[in-house]
Amino acid sequence: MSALVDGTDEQRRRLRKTLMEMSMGRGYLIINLETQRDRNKHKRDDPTDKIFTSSSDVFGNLATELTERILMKLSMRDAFKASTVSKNWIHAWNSTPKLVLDDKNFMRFDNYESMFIEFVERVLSSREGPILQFHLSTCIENKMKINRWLFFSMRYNKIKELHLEVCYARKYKVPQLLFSCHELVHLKLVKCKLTPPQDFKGFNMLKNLHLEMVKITDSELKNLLSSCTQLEELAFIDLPWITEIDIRNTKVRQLNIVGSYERFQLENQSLINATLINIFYHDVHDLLTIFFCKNLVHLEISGYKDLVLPSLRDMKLETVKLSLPTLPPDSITNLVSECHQLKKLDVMIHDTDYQEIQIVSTSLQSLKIGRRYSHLHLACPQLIDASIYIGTDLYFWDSVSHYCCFRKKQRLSLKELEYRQTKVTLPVAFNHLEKLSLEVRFGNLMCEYIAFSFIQKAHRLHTLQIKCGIPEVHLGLSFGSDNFWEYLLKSGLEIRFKNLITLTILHFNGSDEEISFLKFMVNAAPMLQEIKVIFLTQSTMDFLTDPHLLYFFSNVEDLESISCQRILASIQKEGDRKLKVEFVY
Amino acid sequence: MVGVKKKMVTLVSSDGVEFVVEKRVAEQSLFIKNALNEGGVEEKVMIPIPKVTSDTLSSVLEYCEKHASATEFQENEIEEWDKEYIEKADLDLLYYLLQASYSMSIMGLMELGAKKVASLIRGKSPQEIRELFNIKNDFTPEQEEEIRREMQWNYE
Repeated sequence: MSALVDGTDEQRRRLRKTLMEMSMGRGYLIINLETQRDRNKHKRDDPTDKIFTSSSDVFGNLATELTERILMKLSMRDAFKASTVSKNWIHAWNSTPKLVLDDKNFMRFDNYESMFIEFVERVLSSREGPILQFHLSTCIENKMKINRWLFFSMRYNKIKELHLEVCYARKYKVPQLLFSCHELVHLKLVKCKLTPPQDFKGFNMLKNLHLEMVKITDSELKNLLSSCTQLEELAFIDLPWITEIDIRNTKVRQLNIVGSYERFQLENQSLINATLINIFYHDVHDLLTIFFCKNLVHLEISGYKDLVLPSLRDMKLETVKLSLPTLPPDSITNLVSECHQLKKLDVMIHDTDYQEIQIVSTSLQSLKIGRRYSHLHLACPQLIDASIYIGTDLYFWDSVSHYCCFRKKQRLSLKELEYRQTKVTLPVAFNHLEKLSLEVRFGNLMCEYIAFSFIQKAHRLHTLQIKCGIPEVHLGLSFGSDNFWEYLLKSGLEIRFKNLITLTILHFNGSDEEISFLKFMVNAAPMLQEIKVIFLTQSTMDFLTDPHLLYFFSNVEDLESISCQRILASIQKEGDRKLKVEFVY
Repeated sequence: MVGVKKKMVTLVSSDGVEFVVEKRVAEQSLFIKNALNEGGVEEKVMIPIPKVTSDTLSSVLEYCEKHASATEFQENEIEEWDKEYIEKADLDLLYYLLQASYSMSIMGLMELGAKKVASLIRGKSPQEIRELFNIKNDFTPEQEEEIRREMQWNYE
């Protein structure tokens, strides 16, 4: 709410000049920007704006448990800063059962290693009471010290949560004392080496195990999984020595597997949530055992090559996310028709062989289609949230020259476009759609028309996000103001998006079509409260002086802030309503 | 059920003001819930709430009332309400709410208050925190110098 005018003088000068020029033709009242700035300064001194402060020293005497609770909600840096305000607070900090130690803030010092060591030793020596949660993340090459700190954190055998990340060249081997911490519930190890003893009987309480870039062998991992019988959440991220993932005899409900492994044994009836990500397109065996998990509700598969989906008729899937290099034709169509409880679907098929996709579902509430398709058929009446890529493979008719042709013949009409648009089949209306995100290539008439159809059919839409594709090459032709959106503006058609509140435009290039689209939306959406336009490149200086864009700041009173990266305006509309417009790079 | 009289309890604030509230509302506080269980089910129950003034108690009860009927609302609706509720409290009230939630064992309110205080602390220097919360600096200059040296890593 504080209004700042912090652009350089040069920017202000240029802006004022432009505004001046604009005002000549339009008769707007121009006020001096300096005055505006002074007024803003004045505003800041307003007593109602003052930050409230506490009237007496009560917070200094807050119950220790409360102070602990507050400190535990802060990052390590903020917590340490806050802990030094008074003796009481230091005392509270020393008895918090959670300790997070991270050396990344020390890195900028030349003697960072000795500094960090000294710091940790001091923190540990002033501890009062056992540590229940201990997080340590460090790059120091000092095995002895790290061992000692871990011993310290484990000394009462009370530790419930351990996060350990040790990144030095040779993998740090976690001390064997770890295997006597039977109270452990969460264990997260990053970049270490874990070697459970041969006769290890498991962590009886362990529910959550996260191993990331940890050196552990197949047989050790197998033993660990079978001996920790209470495991519910598993994450295996890039384990270099592991070739096989077997979770058959576990109670795991949530599984997250990232990396390249050769074999999978995933059949498990307790599994509810699974994420399988493979960055390298390796051949794998038995990945499809995941589809034997009949109670699976959430599934994400990403990266695996040559995946063929089996019939999903017996499954209870509610959310599915697929991001795959290839998928046989009709896979998506079948998936949607077979999963009767599907609520959320997110698909991205990188194949250049475009497929026809039919989404016919009475349960689907959220849909994201992130790549091209040859044809998209949508019939999902419960859709609330959609994000659709609008294909840009050009057909003869939507090239600029034909557009020009239409115009010449005076045949350009919405009916004509509807008739010729064969890319997407939409329902008569989206009755529940509230959030819509579209990737549109402006200047491509077909894309623009499809985007328009989506927006127009979603009469309950309140949030719209448009991502601009690469603008269409104009083949040397210029249409001036008569593009699709200008046509709509001038058509006299009664187009109203009555519920639209927020509009965001990403990758804004500042092309004529994009600016016309913006104008059109401001015109057609009377309830708009917020517009945010994010530029693709830093053409800031240009856009500061682009008369088209300044269309929005028709009254300079509205300008709230200008800087070289950001323009913010708050425009008074009828009644008490305000429209906030923001341009940022 | 229709016709069944709602069970009421009377809470007495530290400054002697009586609040008559539904039992289910009062039971958002574990302290009161335990007190009621121990005392058996009586018709007229009076529970003194020490250290909580009437001003604070009325605000606390506003929270309890909303959360006693939380099941009627959608999750994000309650979240929104919580946000607004804690937003409008000034620092003094925030402090009293925290202390009351602690002494009355109202976990949700304690979390909410602690989160709010944490959000006010975030990014501030110790001196700024002291000024904001009016906390007295009770270190000797020597101690302060020592802290400053130790915390060197934590400053730009």
